[in-house]
Amino acid sequence: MRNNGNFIEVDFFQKNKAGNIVCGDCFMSQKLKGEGRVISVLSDGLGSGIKACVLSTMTATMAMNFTAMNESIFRTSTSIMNTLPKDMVRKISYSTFCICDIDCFGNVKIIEYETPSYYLYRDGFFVDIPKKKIPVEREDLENTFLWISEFTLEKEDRIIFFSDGVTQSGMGSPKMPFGWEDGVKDYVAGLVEHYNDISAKELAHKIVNQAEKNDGYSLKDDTSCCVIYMRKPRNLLVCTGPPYDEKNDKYLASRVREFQGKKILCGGTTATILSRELGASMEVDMNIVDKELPPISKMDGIDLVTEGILTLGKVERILTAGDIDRRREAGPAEMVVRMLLNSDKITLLVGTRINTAHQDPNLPVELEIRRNVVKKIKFLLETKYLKDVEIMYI
Amino acid sequence: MEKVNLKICVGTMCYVMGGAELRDVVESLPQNIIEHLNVSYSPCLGCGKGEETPPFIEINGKRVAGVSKNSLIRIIKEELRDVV
Repeated sequence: MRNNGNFIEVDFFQKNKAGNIVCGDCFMSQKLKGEGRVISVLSDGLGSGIKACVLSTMTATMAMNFTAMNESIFRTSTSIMNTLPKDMVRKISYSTFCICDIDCFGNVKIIEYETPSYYLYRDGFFVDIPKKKIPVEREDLENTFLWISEFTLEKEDRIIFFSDGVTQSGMGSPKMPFGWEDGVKDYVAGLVEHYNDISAKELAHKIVNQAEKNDGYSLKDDTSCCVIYMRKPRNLLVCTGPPYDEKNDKYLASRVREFQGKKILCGGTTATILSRELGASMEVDMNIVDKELPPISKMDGIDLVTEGILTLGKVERILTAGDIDRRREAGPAEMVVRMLLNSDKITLLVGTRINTAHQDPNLPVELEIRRNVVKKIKFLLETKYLKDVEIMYI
Repeated sequence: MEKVNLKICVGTMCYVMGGAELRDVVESLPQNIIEHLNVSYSPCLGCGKGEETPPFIEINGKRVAGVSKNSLIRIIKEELRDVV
């Protein structure tokens, strides 16, 4: 989501308690395009396993929808508490939540209930925002409070929030008998000092992995971390397909040449046109191999050149499956996906000339129509990965 | 003698129509043949608009259409008949 020309990157990472197949924490993030808002919710259900997963998913979903409808936090929290099923043993219905609502002007409202406090990292320091304390009236538990903080997000700010799996990791070990606690701050400060522009995705991964390390590589609780980072957008241009009219080849080339950011070309014909128009030589690189796909090429001034429709089809499949972090392969499609996910603002420049050679009904079904694949990729990137995507047809 | 320039197209059409296998063929050729070949690949040779069917290759600048595993070996042998 953009904000005064800046981009708000939201990403999160979680790992399950050792031996569990589901996570008892639930994270949701939604971008309301019309209003320019980004809402992110993290909830930690009581206990772990399926029960915790159900509790936290219900909490997160309700918190997300109530917030999106601008419902007051009292109604939201009361509804959540009344809806959650009671735990048979502990006789309470319980799950924590942290709601972060950022509007189109960068005004942030964070509502926390029983979670470890969020961190705001600005210019090398952690900023303490005064919080409003609001008691929650409930029958089964006393002395619980909602903490509300409001502030305006500035460029290069990072908001970090996590479940107690992070702060309590390493508890009982000689090095950190009370858990990681404020050690998280030092860890984050050290990382950001070292890698100034560390992305939200990477930071979230690093924090969770460090928590796992604290626990001796066997997590004692579900561990999740969400990072929100307001930054200058990282631009990416994906250019695929030759222009409908050959006269526009020059226009295509100038768009590619003048683009500020990373560039990917998908398509043999497209690459040949650009190689001719930009006067850049092209060479096929046989070192990166994927049995399903034709190889990539190298061209000066372009970050990645791949084959077109087969590669895009596989990109779409990987984005749908959402398993890029677990994939070991490093073929052309994986390279494209990684570049897509490491960008904020993505422009898809789609040529609309129909490749007559692809219209033979005897060909494999994978040879889909380019425009349909591109539309699917745009939809996935926007909804699932919260990217800013724009399609231009030429 | 000069090496024989062999260029294999790995564009979408050529690749799905059998170009993928041509690479395996070339890589499994015996050493005495490979040493006379200069193998390269192209993202698209820009053919396939006419009647000819993919996959395409270029051997010493000559374009050949509809190349199969067997015909590729035959074509290479033909070019190298004086040497091997």
